[in-house]
Amino acid sequence: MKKITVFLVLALCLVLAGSVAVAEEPQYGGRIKVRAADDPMTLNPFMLGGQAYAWDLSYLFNAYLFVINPDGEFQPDAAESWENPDDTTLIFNIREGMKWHDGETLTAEDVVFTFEKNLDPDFASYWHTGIRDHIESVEKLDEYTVQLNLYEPFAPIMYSLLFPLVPKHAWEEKGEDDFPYDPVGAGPFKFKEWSIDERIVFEAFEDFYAGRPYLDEVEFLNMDYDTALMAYLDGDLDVLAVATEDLDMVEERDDLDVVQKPGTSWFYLGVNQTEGPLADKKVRQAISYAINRQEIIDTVFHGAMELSTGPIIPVSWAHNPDVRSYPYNPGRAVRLLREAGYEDGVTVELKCSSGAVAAMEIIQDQLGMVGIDVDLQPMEWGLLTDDVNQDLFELHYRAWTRQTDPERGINRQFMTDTNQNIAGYSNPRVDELAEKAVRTFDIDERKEYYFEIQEILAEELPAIFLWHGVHRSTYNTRVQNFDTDPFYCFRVYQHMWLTD
Amino acid sequence: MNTYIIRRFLQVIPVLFVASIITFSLMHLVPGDPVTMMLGEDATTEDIMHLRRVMGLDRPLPVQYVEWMGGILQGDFGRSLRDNREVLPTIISRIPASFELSLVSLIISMALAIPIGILSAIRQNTPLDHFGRVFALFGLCVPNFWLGLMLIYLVGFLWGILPLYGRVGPPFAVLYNWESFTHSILPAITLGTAGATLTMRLLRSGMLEVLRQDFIRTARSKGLSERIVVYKHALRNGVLSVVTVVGLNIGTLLGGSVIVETVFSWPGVGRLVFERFIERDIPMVMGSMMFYGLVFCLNIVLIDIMYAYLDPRIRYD
Repeated sequence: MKKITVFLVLALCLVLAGSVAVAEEPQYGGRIKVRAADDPMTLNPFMLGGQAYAWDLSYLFNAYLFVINPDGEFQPDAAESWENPDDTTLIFNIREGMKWHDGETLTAEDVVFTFEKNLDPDFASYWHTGIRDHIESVEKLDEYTVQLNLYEPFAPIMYSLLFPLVPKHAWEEKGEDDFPYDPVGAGPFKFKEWSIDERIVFEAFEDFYAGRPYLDEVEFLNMDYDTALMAYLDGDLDVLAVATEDLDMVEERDDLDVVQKPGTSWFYLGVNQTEGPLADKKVRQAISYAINRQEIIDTVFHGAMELSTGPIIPVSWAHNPDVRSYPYNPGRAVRLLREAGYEDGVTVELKCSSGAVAAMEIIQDQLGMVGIDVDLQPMEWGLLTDDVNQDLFELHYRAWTRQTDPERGINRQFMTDTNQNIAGYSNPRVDELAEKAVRTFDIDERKEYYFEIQEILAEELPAIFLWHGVHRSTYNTRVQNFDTDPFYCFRVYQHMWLTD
Repeated sequence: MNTYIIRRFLQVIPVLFVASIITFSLMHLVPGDPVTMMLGEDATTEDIMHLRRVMGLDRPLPVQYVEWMGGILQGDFGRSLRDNREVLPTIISRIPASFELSLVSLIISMALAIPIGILSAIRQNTPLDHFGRVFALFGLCVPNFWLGLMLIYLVGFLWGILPLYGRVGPPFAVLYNWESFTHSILPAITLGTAGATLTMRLLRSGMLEVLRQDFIRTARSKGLSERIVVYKHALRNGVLSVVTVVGLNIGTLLGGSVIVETVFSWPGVGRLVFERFIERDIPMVMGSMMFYGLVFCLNIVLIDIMYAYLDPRIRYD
């Protein structure tokens, strides 16, 4: 009985302690220090798209029409609401009274200006190619209303509109050369200082429409990983993407913690199927059977990847879990090769970036065991991209990231002759389905099309699907409300605050 | 002598010109281009072609070179392809960090190398000499990224004596601000160790050679104190070879060190060039190469002049 009483008292204490912790009010103030793997190439909002690290930073200080929350839903930002009266028209109602960091008011004129710049073929904008085939014109209906007219219905259009808004007055006043060094946005933080290759600091914007963020400042430090790890363990850095092999050090500490979410990337071996043995479906299937993905995930990635059966990420509504899969089966691989007429084995070249050698060497060994001799060619990332773009490969290892809409995983890579088509894949049925899938806004209908495409792809293997990434971040527990966003679209720093 | 100096300075110009052509050609021979880097993984061939055209990178190479050279002759080093920053001010803004690191590193390495070098020579084959030789071997063999990380781990992280990384304060603050100075100690030791050990070895062998010569015996037989023999007669003659090495070292140090600057997050020139090369930021790399070329050429000219000052027998007429 006594034991039970003690237990009850202890339990009560725990509950009380818990409720005290829950009831703790967010505090304003403080600076959070984040390790950045690289310096942003630029803070020019028209070019802030190519680097994953720059996305985070861009959402920190820029205004967007809307953002995507970590659950993948659209959330209003500068556009308070939007409607589509028909399939080729989008009307955005701009938030009234929203301020730029220099105190000017954000209006429809700025929105139209941003669109016009992005649509201008002679202006260097990262966002140009994403919208030029879809948007016919942009009109300012009144001071706070903008209308987009599309050439034809395009279901994923919203995802193509995820670019920063630029203040017309400030851009024209500062000019293209100076604006990136003193950028004006309308996001929750405003630009404070940038010491090239060293640090970049943002400070709270007092007049942010949703109220000023809790943190006073967010500082991104461009540091070597090993040095950053020591600074993080020392409590000097608050946020760091700790490598899987170092996670033990974080897990054994009470003051450090990890957040992990399903990622938005998919990794694959791209196959040049225009000629040679790889043009034969059976050889591609043999390769897929011969790779022991789980072994690589366990040894090289320490479990931080998920098995993949196709290009659509598992968290997507369009993911089809019931497609043909290729569990590790070297015997079957050998049989398929024999059926394809390659009893004596084949030789294929595999290009990868130098950072991916560890995983690729295991694939080389595994394929070697079934008689596929792999000539592994690691190279610098930029060179790999060049070779892949020119179809100069037999196999290559790469990944696509930030898959917001299935269109980004299917239409761009597997439709005949599209820009990112993985060397020579063409299937009229896939083309037809993929085209239909972007011309309707009905999610169930789209899902049906994408499900069928995934079945075809899993059978034909225009690429060898390997694994999906996991999005992970580690932080110091003095940071409250810490979150990480696999879509890189949400302003996680806006909601964080620091305990004393 | 004056004609010689002027001639030497003028020779720098063709050297730089040839260097610029070689660098420019190499930058374009290496596959990969800045646009690919800028647009990231999702970029399509079309995106890349579009941006190349807008940025003028699709024009013939000679045209691009002549345009760049024309700019240089007018003092315009152009703008970075990566972030549109002006090249010259960017490089200049990075020089103080590299310079102050070099300075502290040079001071630390000389403070170690000169006494140990001299003592090793005059106490040849004693435990002190052996220690010096082992230290030299260690300093020359150990890779500096490892040394840097070990120093950060032991001195910075485990013992918490010195800051882990970074540079604080305005340019040249290491010279008067204690906090800035403490930030520079670990990177300076890392950077200076190899140079210090080399200097030490050279000084030791230079001194040993001089100490065996007749004039030293004469000096000793005159009854001069050992102190004067060593410092006034032996050191002055033994130090000549060291001057060359230290002089060349200054050039290297000024150019910054990619590894040390990366490990310690030190915003110097070395890291700038390295990162920009990876990104194929051609104007920035070209500008930095011109800067390096200039520093090295001037440095060699200065070493030659210094020789003449230190050894009156050397004349360049």
